[in-house]
Amino acid sequence: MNMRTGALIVPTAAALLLAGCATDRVIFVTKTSIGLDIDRTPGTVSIAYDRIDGFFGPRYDNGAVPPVVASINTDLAVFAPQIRQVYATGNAATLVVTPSPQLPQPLLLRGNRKSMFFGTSTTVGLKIGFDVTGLPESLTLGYKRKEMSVIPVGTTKVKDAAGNDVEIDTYPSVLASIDVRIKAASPADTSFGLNQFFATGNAAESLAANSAAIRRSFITLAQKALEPAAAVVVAPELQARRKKMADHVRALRTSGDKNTLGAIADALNLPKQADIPSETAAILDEIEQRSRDAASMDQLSTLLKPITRQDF
Amino acid sequence: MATPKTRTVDKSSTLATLNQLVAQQEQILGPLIAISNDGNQTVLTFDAALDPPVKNAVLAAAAGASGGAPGGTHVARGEIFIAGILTDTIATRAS
Repeated sequence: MNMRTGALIVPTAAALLLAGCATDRVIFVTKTSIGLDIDRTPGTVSIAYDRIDGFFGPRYDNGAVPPVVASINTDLAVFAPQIRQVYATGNAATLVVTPSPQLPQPLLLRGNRKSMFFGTSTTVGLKIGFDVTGLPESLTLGYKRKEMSVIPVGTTKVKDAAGNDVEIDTYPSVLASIDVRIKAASPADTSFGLNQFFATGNAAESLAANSAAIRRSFITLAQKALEPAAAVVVAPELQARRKKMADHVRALRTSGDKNTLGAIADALNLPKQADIPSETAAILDEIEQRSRDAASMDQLSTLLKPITRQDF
Repeated sequence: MATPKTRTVDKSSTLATLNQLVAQQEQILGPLIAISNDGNQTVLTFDAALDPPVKNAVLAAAAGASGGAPGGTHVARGEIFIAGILTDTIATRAS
């Protein structure tokens, strides 16, 4: 498929919109280009950034539109640039921006079938030069990524408040993310890290709800600081499970296990803290907020089990 | 160094519910250190840098101007909502 997305899709979508035609499909496209050129002799840093986001789809009478989200986070730090992108549609888009999401029931593959398209294209070029002392002297980075989906909306029946069957449109979930981490400290201490996810349907929703790597772009310290959580009374059995998990975390604090605490903080999408007490406090705060019912406690226990190696 | 964590409580909560919340939150977030309100709801503050106390703090409407705390250690005092009414309240912890 020709992916000249920015040149073709946006004008096409705008033309269709101006024509006022109805649509039963959603087109969502992003295109990103980043160029970074660093040279210590003479000392220069050149940065180029170009980004296009486009959405074409139905708007309903009540103001609703199919949910999509796309983000890019990059620091373009000299000799250690990071680039993180997330692209999601449908329930996955809503889940990935929700602080404590509840995963919906998986959808069965049933009903009429229609074709949809979802694709990404990524190109990364990197060149690093070192001087005779082993210090990085130059870095040239070229990064280009396109993400696109063309998805027809579906229909399903649900019960309204009065118990009547009503027909509503559905918009499937897709999710793509990429996390590029480059480090150029010395010839021996140079790395190129890359994490990439590509998923559709229930798998996309599960990733959006549970993957720390994907969700971290949307959960910020500022959000948490602005929204103190409301306390709720929980059942005694659930409280016992919460306390067991909290005690486990406090034991890590007592033993000074910063690595394990850091791994738990990463899994919970928490920002890095300067010291162990602050990291422990942030984790306890998050655990309390994420364990308000048995289902969310199960989810939290499962999420942390690879690190804690026990059930709570 | 204290690492305070706050929780809000609906203003309609009864004293019994508030005490139940304090007991549960102290097991997770550490000891209660302050009680207050933000105009619309009660605000409870816990110190997550400390281990949970052996005995939970107990809230009670302050008795008269002195607001004594008989039979326990004074933890905090402030105005919080009890059943929708802003009430001068003390928190004590049994010795």
